[in-house]
Amino acid sequence: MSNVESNEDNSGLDSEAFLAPQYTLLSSEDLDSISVDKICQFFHDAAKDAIKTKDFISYSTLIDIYLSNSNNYNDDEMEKLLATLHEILRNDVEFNNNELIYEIGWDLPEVLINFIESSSFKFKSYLSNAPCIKSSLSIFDLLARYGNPKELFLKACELLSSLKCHFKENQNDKEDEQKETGDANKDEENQNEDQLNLELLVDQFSNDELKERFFDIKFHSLLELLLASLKRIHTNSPSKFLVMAITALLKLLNNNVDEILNLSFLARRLYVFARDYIPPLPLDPPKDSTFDNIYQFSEDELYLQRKLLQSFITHLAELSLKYTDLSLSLSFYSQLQLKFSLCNKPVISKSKSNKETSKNKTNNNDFSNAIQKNIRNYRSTNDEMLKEITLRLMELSQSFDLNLEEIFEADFINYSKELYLKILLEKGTLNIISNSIKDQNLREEFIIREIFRISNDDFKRNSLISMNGNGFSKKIGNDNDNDGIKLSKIGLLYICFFSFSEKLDSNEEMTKKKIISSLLNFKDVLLLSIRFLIPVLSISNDKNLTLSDFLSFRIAEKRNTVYTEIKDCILFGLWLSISRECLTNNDIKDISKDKNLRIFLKILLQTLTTIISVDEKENNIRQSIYTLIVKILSLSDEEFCWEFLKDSIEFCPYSNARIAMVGILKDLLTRNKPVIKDSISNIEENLKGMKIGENPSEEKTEILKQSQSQPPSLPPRSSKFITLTNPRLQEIIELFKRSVEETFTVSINKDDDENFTISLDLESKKSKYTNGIDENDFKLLLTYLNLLIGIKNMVPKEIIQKDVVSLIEETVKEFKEVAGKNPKENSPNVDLLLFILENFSK
Amino acid sequence: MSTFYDLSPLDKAGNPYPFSELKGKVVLIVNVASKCGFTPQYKGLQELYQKYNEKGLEIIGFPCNQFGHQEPGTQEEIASFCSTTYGVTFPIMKKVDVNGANADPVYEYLKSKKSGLLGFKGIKWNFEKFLVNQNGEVVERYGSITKPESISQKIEKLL
Repeated sequence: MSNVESNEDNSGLDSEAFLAPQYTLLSSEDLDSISVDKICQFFHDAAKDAIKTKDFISYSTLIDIYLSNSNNYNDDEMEKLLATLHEILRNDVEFNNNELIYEIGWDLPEVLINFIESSSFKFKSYLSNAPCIKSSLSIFDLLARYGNPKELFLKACELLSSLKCHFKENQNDKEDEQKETGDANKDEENQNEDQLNLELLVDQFSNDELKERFFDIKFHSLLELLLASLKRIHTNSPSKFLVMAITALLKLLNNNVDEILNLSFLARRLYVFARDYIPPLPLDPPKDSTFDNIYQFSEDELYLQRKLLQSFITHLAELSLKYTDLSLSLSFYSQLQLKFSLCNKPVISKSKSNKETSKNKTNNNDFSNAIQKNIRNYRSTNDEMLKEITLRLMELSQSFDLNLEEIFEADFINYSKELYLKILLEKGTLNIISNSIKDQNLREEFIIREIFRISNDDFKRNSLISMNGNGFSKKIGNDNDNDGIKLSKIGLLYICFFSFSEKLDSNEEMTKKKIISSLLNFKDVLLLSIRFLIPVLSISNDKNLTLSDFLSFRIAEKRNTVYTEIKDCILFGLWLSISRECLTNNDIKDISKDKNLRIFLKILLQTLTTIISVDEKENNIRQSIYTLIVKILSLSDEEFCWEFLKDSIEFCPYSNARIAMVGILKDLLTRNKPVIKDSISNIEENLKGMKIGENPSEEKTEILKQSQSQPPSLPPRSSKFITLTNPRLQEIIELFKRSVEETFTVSINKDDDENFTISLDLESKKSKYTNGIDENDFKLLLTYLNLLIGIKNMVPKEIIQKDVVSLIEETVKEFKEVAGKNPKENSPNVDLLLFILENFSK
Repeated sequence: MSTFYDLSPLDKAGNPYPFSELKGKVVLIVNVASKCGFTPQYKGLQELYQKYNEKGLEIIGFPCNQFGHQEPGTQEEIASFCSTTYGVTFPIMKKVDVNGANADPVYEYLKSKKSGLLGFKGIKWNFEKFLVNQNGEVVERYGSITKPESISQKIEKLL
């Protein structure tokens, strides 16, 4: 019998006033004093009353009072409450024409979501055994089938928009566990605390990964509710519902992409949402209609839905690959290595050496190494899955009528040209202004600054989602506003480059050559590279992070890899264009001679140098970029190449880059240019010289006569990529001397005000020897010596003797005398220099 | 390409298969794949073929590897799979692209004549079907989930 008195006559008053005293608003103390059995009884009784009185608001309030905070109950109690609710709703469906569920359904999803996550579940059995999972899913199922579809659709959108994967409880768990472990350690002497902490951190990571499954279930339940409700809605404006759904789903992804470890689950479900999207039924479907012709909407409605889905998949690609590396460039580079035997062992994947760490060491580095290893292994599986999803998104984009070739041409190639038109055009405003600057260096600086500004502004305009969590609502959130429905440029960039990679993967060698020749020329990729690489480097190097961001290994790890895929796509594009350049040989030399384009080329090379110096951690990627720089330089105009290398060696702030540049300089000064192309051009020239219709036998006789009268021609003279002229030799010697000075005598001090002072006195020499010579300075000096050994046969002996051998001998001798006999243990061994000098006399 | 009968795709041996030979027939064109969840539809297609071929139905399969890489095999492997697993006797053509810049002209034509759900022209997945009447007009387009047997009524009507 019900404890609730009838309130039929009191409609219009506050519903809470009519709840029986047993289940009116209660304080938390009151709530504690009521048993769960009692609450279940309230639910049963109140349900009967609600159906009788049609006062469903009061019933919703009752549920809200008792179920809004799942923390008030233990696992068994939560199970009992949900089982009762499920029983009431099932009875409602069976006996009351689902009136109750239709009216109160709106309030239930939020309650159920809170009950899904259990803080006590230990993940030692299947997740389905976790408390409340089955009962929650059963109630969701009833809601999806019998609830008010429009209300539940809206509620699902609302909850999806705000659903967040968080790890607060894990941190508490971690502290508790550490405390417990700490207590145990007190009794055990010589316990290796580091090792224990390490294990805890790794366990913590695994636990986080497992706890993400609760988030997955919440997401899955809400998405299913959304889809089921959408199918039950009848409307002639399906685009209104679709825009709400995709806005909610993209918000969900954007809110969680920085936290979630296993993004592939989310991304896969969103891909399936787009692929299998079926609009709500029209209000008056045609009679005798089948699935294939029932969805008759106005042309505008069909168009809007198409645009929304197109937009959705491109944004999905952008967000799901935010921290992912598809390794398109590395994979292509590896193919090139195999083909041209660039080295003995091709790079197949990212270096293992970076992932593997010594098991026995327990120093501080091992903590982060072990965690990083764990994350990397996990992410590499996740990346593989995301690669598969990217493939599917690429396929779906074609099914959704996105013409990737046209889009690439318009949005990436032509748009990039337009973007820099002010600089590139002879009459472009920026070009005209820059021409008024007489000093060549100042002019170049002005243009570089403008290129940076244009690139950064463009990137901000085109990546609103990534820059601002609310950005996409501005882009796709305007109902029926076509201009509001934009495609994600970054998502499209990924999809387009992935499609290039697919084309190359699935074809034979001859077809590949055709594809490469038709895809990208260097000039186009150059502008595209500048447009995307400059902003990406600015973002990934930004230090605008809070302390807690840095302390979180999750974020720290990801911050290093943000927008990696943009870099990957651009590098892949550069390799493709270089391959085309090798096949057709036209672009790079002209670019490096052009007054304006050479500035773009210089920026590209400097950007690549920065990537290998400070940004990229993977050895194999760095190696591929290094090879790319050499390749571009070797195809450039000789003067440009020399000036770039000299400039970098002199002014580049990264010592490892300067060392690399000296190595490249040596390569280009000593390596012969291939002569095969010259022979081919000779053949072509001969063929051009032949006239059609002339008697070939006469021609032959003439050639034969000529050849008999002349001695056989010499083989083509090989030339170097950079010719060692006298002025260049002088500059190299000067740079070498400066390196000697910097290594031994120049001490650069930085004071508190960021001012640099340079000491050249005897004390600084002592200081160098006692404090140790800088390792990078020493490495640079060794690389110079290596360069000089490489070119010694092209250099007059007296210069080698005076400016190299004697200088080193004297400097080392003097240095030893000044510095005393107790060199610092870790300091480089200067005697190595004397040993190397022997190579000059060989 | 002006009419359906002007098309001439390549058969599995790489020889032209002029659609002009199909004049007066009802034609069902399907993009097929051997490793797809819908692959069992081969059975239903073969049953349709056996039932209506003599009455004037022709079924033509175009293998395509554009959806989840589910048709990776060579021409011989595809032919062998179709005949041994499902006893397929209707013609299976050379593997083609159905979407993108390299889409086969047959598919360019069919898509231009009949759009799919929401008006998208692109093929969404394996085993989408186009039904062409005896005058060479594309009269229906069916999604992958439409089973071959459910089309029989329409085919009978056209025959």
